Amino acid sequence: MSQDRRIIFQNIKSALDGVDKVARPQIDFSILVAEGKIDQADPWLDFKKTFESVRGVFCDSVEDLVAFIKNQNLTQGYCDPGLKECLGDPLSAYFTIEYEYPRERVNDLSFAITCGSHVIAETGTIVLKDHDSVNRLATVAPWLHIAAVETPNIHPTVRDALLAFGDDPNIVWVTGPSKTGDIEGILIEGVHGPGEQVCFRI
Amino acid sequence: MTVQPIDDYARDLNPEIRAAIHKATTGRVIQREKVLFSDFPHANQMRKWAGELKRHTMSHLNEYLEQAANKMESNGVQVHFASTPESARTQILDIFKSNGVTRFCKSKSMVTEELEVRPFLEEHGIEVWESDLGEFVVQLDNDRPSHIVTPIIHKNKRQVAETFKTHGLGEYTEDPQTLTRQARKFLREKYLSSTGTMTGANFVSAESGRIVVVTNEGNSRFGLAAAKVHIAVVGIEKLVPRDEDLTLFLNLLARSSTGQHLSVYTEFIGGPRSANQPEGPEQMHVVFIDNGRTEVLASDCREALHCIRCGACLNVCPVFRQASGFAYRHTYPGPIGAVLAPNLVGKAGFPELADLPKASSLCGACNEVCPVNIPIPDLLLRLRNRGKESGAPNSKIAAPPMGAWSSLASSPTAWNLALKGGHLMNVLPQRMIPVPAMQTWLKDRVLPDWQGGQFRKWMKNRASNKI
Repeated sequence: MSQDRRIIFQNIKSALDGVDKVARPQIDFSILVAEGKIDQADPWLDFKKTFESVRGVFCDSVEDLVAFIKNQNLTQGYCDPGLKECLGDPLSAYFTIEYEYPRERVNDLSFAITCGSHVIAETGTIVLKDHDSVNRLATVAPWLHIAAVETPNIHPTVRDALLAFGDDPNIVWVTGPSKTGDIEGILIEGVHGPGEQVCFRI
Repeated sequence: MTVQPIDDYARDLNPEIRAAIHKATTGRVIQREKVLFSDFPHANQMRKWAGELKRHTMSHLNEYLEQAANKMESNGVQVHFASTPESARTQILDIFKSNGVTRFCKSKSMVTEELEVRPFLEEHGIEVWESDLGEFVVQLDNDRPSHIVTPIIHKNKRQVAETFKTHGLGEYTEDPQTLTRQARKFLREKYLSSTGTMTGANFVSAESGRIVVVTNEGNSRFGLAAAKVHIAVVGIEKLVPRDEDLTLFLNLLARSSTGQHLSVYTEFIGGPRSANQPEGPEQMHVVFIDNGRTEVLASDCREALHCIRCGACLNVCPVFRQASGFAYRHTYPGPIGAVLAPNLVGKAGFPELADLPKASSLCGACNEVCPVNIPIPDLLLRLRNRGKESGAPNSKIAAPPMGAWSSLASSPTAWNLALKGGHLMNVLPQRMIPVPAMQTWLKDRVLPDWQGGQFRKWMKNRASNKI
């Protein structure tokens, strides 16, 4: 209702009538980096540490990834077609790998490999963007989500990641497995989203 | 009435629930302190910056709101405004109806609680599913959330087990993991068969027009993957000027709230899905809500609008821990609720909640933990004053007779007499003290022996003996 729009702006204006305009504070954003999180020469080493601290699983070899998926007793998964050569084909020797993610299959395809856009070293976060992840549902519905991220795509800090939004309409930061403490504060992982988050470095 | 309503709630609260609340809130307080200050030793400087930045934003609210709305529209978002709950509910219903949405999953949002969106839409034939685990339990129980971050802080696992069994979610179990899996299975079907989804927003960047939605469960992400129509219901005070400013707010929010450095899912949503995506909303609607906020902006409590709903002040508050969230009789409980609630209800609703500003010992812990440094004790005092000035009967409940005190304390003779007379209290039964507020206080406590007058005697002797 356009009338509401007019009323709200009018109310704001009259509420602020006579209120001093407060200047924007001078904020030193460069100091807004958590202590001791990024101190190694290779930011991926920092990422590995922070990612593991939020119970993420870091992998950079296909063998380790195969072992992890087997250990989870999962047999069927989805792979982003763009990752067929680098991950889909090698994994298909051990698992059933499919390249489409239809809704009827959400409960059978218990793992999914999608393209992660970046990681954030400071917080152990995987950045997913609409332009890069081919299927949103595949990033959230399977029990195990594997985000494949290319080596150069690492933001050292939260601020770096915020400044790199670009024009993507949907950016999601994922920092560990989906979790809740709603029932008596007891931590349970895998509420609606993945119970396991893997970051695979390409 | 000699007892404040909040005291009644505290008295009648089931001790088991009180213990659960105490355990949960103290755990959060310790975790916050540990994570916030080990990561940011200068966190107090950050809290001040965040408060100043909010103050700046609020003093330019019309400009930032306009900037955000314009940016959203150019991003392909349909922007709506609602000044009252009725208007918000009708507009939301229209959006869903005109798109043929008959079922939707919503993620946790306090503003939708405030507007009572769910019951309204249900009355109009739309099936609504709360997807946050705690809110889902609240919905099944036809209950209300009692904490802004931990909605079922007042329930234990036995109660959740009973609820899930009654609603046919699965076999009776008290194992939280199995209960969570039951909800996962049940709600997943709802997500996949819903064409709509609803979220709130933790922040809105005026610069990019993006809304920020923070969850741990990934429930809003699931909704935004599965649905075709997304409605975000957003209070007009959620604005921050720039994307970069989120560095400050995101670093403070989860640490203050749950003691995490970031919540698991932080979503920055600028518009409908991109062309390459097979899944996700084709339409995004943002409904900006006033519902009393511009009245708060016009009042001497405008800093209450800086609140980012982290719940830290609830966790640290001795009154909240004793009385529980329901004691505050409004969507927003705890110290910030005691400020927000009597303001948001407007002039007409104020008298009913005029006692809330007194539900505080003014210890100041709420201000110390607030990530945006809201001077809650000052605001409570301003509201107490408003209660007194407006003569609201609820503001006088259990107030001691300060008029008598004032004349006593301003006359040396009367004071001296009272000090001497005070010794009578050591002889007479305490229940005979003719002050109702005192009687209430004495119900659970005993006064120590009266020793008044000693200091004056000492002072007098000191003067005459020139010690």
